[in-house]
Amino acid sequence: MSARFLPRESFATLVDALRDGRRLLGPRVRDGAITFGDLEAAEELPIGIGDEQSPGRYRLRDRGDDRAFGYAVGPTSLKETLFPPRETLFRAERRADGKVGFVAVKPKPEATAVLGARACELAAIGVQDRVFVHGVASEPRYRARRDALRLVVAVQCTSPAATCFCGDAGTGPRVHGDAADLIATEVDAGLVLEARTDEGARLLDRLPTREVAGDEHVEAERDLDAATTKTRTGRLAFEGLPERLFAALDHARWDEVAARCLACGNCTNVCPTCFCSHAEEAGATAGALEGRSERVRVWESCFSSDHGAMHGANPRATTKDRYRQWLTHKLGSWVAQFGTSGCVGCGRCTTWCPAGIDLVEEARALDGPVESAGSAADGFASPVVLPEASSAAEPADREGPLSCDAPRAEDLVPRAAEVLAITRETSDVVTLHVRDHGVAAEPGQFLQLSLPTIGEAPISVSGVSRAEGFVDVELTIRGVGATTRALTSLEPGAELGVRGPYGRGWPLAALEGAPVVIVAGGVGLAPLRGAIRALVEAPERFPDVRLFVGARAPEDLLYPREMITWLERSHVKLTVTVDHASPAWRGHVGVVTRLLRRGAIPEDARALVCGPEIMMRFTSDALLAAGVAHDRQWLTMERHMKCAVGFCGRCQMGPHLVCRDGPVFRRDELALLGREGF
Amino acid sequence: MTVESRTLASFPGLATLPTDALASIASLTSEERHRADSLLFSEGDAPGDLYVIVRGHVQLTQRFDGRGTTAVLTLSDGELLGWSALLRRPRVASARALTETVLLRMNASALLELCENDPRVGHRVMALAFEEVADRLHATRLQLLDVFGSK
Repeated sequence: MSARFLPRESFATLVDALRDGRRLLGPRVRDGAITFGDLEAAEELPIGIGDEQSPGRYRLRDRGDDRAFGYAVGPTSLKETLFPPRETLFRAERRADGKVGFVAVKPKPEATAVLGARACELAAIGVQDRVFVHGVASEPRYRARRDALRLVVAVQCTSPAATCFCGDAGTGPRVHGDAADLIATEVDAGLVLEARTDEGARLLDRLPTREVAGDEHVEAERDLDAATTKTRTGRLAFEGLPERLFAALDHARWDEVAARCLACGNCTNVCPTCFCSHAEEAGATAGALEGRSERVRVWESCFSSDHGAMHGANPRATTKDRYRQWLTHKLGSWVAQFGTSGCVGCGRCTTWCPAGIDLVEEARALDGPVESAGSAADGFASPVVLPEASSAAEPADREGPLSCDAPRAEDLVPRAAEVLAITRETSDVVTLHVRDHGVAAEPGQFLQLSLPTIGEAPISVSGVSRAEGFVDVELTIRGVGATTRALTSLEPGAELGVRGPYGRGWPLAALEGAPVVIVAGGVGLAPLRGAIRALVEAPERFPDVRLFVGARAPEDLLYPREMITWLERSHVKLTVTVDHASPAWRGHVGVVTRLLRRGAIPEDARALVCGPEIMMRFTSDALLAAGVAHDRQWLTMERHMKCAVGFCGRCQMGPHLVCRDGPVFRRDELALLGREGF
Repeated sequence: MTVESRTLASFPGLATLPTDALASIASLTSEERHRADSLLFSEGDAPGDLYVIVRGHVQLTQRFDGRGTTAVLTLSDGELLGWSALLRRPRVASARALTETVLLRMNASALLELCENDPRVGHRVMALAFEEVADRLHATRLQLLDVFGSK
């Protein structure tokens, strides 16, 4: 398609054509910055205004000309439009029959046009699409807003800031392909326009354009080439960067940058690709009185103390851990998770950092010979091997494991379920017997349990019995946080919300024929019980099953009566050990790993392990010493699963989203197991 | 009951000892059989002998002021029992057979004398005991972490 020229005095026709039946978002000056917002007239464009940016500094400046797009990028991007900082996911309310109903809240966005998007911003939308549209599930609220983005006019950047590095990131300043309907380049006299889609061509036809003069074409290309040169700083090589960063996890620079970082989360707020979110009960107190509540999703930063915290303990306890998480995710593990870097080179994180921390400078410092902060004695001297780019990055929508009439996984809306009975297992652990109308979980999968006005928690399924039209699910829960304590105090007849099942369960097919060793610690027996039941019931497929169960004390053992029935099976051996006991206890005393070193483990065994992370790590070492290689061990990881479908970023463990890639992992996938700060 | 060298050689830590060294240890070792619930030794007993468990389960208990008697460890097949014998120290824990138990009992004074006179044997025996004590120390640290406790 040949280029056309729109003279400056006709910009109003472009604004009017874009606004024809649509909301128009474009750049204008607000609060001392150029930000995206509703644009009603061409005069609102930042005419003659540019910006000056450097680490920790942003200033508007008078350009002394009448350019309307003569700036780099402001603090806001289109992220706020597609993924609002705060939105309601669903309402829980009493229905007419007195039962709890969960009603999805979905936006009905009006058709929207955008004027002035930069190449880096369009690239950022592409990155967020991989999270919200092309992952294990497709987020309907994001998708609705994305679909409403009907017409995009990109203006290629010829005024990059000192903080920009889109050239290094390979995202700009030129817009490639059909990321926008119409591509513009501003020169002194107006806009050189090129349609990239049919929609863009139709728009172009409506504008009072003329042919591009030769010198206008030369000016546009010259300015774009200059911007390309400026943003191709050569300071950061994206190729191979994930591997290099994960080889530098012990670099002394992490301590240095942590000393400057305020952990304020500005970088993640202004980043056009950061997608982490929190979900909270809105108006909990008032709602409880009125019998309704709302779950609200809000942006969350990996710099917040709550981001990775699970029942009070945070795997990323320090600012160093959190900075390392942010940088290794943004520039590194994002590739394994979503098949693309999380950085588009817009430089916002650097400009808007109150401490002036320059992302490129930090990455460069880390991207050299490793100066180790610690010794190699912690056993982590070797680089962490990253998995291949995630298959979830393939832009193919995958369906969640739910039936059609149930709410779909991606809706994030629970279905109502009822507590039939409760078994008190120990002083702080109960098993809820819940009647659910979803799909039966496979052993090792988990459900998200919701209590309106209180919250939601991921709970492993510890037993399932299918029936016509419903599934009875057993959920063994230890009351640790507010939600789990409330769940453990439910009475028969209580209602709760259920989402799922989610995640990858135990690989039962991979165990067939081989001796199977199962090691469970504490409540870690619960996620294993479904697998154990399957193994106990099928001696022809699993002829040799050896269970090792550890607990704190005899009174903390789960399912003692059921354990006795397992022992009655000739293909099952069970050894129980506790950390402390009175002399009256006839079983073993000692940590569970001691049981594994007595020739109890056949070398060709396959092993399933669940328990506290430290117990799993030592168990894995003991299994390896007994000849069970890492590719024959499976562990289930506990992380802060919040959304359960890969949207919220809370359950990250290096390259993995535990909800999506786990919770069951083969041991050789867990390069970061036991490493502090992940 | 006397013990043959090959019985001793079936324990991993001793398997690589030369035949004459095994024979020397065998000459000071006897096999014992204990009924379930027999007390093998008591906390505070004078220095006694060293044992290897051939078969069975042995419970170690310790008295803790104000907390009564607590089971601290269960030992079974192939494990060393009563390492304090090698230091000629009083027993640090009581040992009770939980099941019918077969033990190899090594005369501690004679074993120490053998170790003194034949450094190959001495090194092997001490390495075996050291490995066992190191494993128990490591496991005890994990127990102290109380990994299954509520945080």
